[in-house]
Amino acid sequence: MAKRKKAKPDWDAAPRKTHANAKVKNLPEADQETLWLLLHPTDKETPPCTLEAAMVHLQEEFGVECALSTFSEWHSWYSLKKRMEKAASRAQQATLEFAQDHPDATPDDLEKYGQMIFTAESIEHGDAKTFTALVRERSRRMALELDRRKLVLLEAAAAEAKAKLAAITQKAKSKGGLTAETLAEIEEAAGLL
Amino acid sequence: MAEKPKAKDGTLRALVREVLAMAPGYGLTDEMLCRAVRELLPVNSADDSAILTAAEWNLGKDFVSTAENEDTDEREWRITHHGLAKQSLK
Repeated sequence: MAKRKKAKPDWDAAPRKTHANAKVKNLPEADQETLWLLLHPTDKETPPCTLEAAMVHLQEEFGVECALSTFSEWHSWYSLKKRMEKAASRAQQATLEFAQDHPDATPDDLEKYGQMIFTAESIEHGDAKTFTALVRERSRRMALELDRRKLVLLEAAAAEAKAKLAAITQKAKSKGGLTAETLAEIEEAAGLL
Repeated sequence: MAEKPKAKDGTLRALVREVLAMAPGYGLTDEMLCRAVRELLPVNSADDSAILTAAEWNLGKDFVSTAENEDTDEREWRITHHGLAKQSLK
């Protein structure tokens, strides 16, 4: 039997109802933040609203009606979103500071560092203390590794300069003294240091 | 006692993308991803294997990517540009 093709949508038909959960999630960020602050006031003297009271505000101020379960789902979602965004923001800030302190860090180093900070900041439950100590230790090791790389480069530059100066000295001795040309070569070699 | 309804595959797939899209550019380990997705679901409606199966499905569609963290030896999940575009179509 031939497969029946799906009927094309009737564009004149009644528009699809927006999912109840999406109504709250699609509110402007400022409005969602207002609801959040009602439930979690930053001012310690202001008591937090209950979900039911916040729902009244949602209906009166933003004209959105939904079930308590839907609003509770939004609350869980927004809470997670805030934590993730905060962790990402802290990681970005820490990476910028690390880059300023370690200009030799490669993009790969910075990405690894940022990820490490993000993971640490994302931990809400569990042994955060141990993980923080681990982050500090890894951060210290990364900084040491960058210093070690810098030292290797400096040592290589010093060895090259030393070899050049030795060659110049030998040449000066054979020619019977310093010429203007030899002086210029010495300056160039010294510039390597 | 009636068994609690399990979250549908489609729901889990969408939630995996939603969680990863909250911090684009940063990775979540298996544990972090599962914990975050469970926060968005009714209690006991999905176990870790179901959530990771949903994540693997998204991986197959290039909505998410994985990479092993060399320091922790753990797999980390990230949203891709394709996955972000999929989220923006909602």
